Amino acid sequence: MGKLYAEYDTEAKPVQMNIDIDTSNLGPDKLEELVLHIAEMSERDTNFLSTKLNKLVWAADFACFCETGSTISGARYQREKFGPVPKAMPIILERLKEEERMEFRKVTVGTRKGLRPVALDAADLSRFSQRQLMIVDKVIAENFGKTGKQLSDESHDKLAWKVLENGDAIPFAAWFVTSRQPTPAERRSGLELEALAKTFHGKA
Amino acid sequence: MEKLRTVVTEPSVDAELEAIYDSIERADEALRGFQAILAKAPQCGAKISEHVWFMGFEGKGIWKTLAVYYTFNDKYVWILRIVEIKRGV
Repeated sequence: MGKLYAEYDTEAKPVQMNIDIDTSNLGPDKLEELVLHIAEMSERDTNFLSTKLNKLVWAADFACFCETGSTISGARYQREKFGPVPKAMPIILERLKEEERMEFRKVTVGTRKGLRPVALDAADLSRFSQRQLMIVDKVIAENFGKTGKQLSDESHDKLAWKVLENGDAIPFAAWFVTSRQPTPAERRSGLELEALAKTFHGKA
Repeated sequence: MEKLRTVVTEPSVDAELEAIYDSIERADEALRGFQAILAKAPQCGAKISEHVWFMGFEGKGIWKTLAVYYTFNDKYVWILRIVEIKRGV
């Protein structure tokens, strides 16, 4: 049985559930455990700072979305300066701090200063399937040692990244949309739609 | 801030997408991806003719590769057709 939180209300407090419903699929709780798991697994990664945490959560959710059609955390994301970030992330991080399950240490990596999320408690992995855990662990391993900026640069080539503005919601499927040129066959198919397209402009 | 257009999909387009994915949920998810971009910047696609534009969708994993044909004015984007592109073809 999970705790239920309001996703966007910064004043939200845990609600004690006394009715028998399954909350295991709700976003915020799974996001909390996912964040904690990533922090635990990244303990020895010297480049693991707050930005990289956001990047890894997104990368794990996106990888799972590609493989299974749904994400690990159930979180909704929005565009932020350095990449997609779960909307509920500020609440999740605050709660982890309040519950003394995570702390943020000021560190200097090379010439960069930042905050390193440090797990103080083990994540509750019972909420995740084996497949989900394999995906997130693979993402962590593949990106071990990379900086948050290196991960950000990969995001910034996407059309969705260029078109959307900070604060805009990012549906996962928007990440697949490209501005590639049509093939000659696709162009021919499009030309067949000209008469239909014209009718919409006539109605407008 | 860029003006948001309303994205309109005809029932025939919804049916095309549902047939491609064999799932209403996945069809909706794919459509949300297009809508997010088209509502903001339909001009990012490729212009094919006076009124018809094209945009690609490079699906990974279970997500199929698609092509969308659409037209737009300053208020609306109308999705005309969505087709699956077979990988490796």
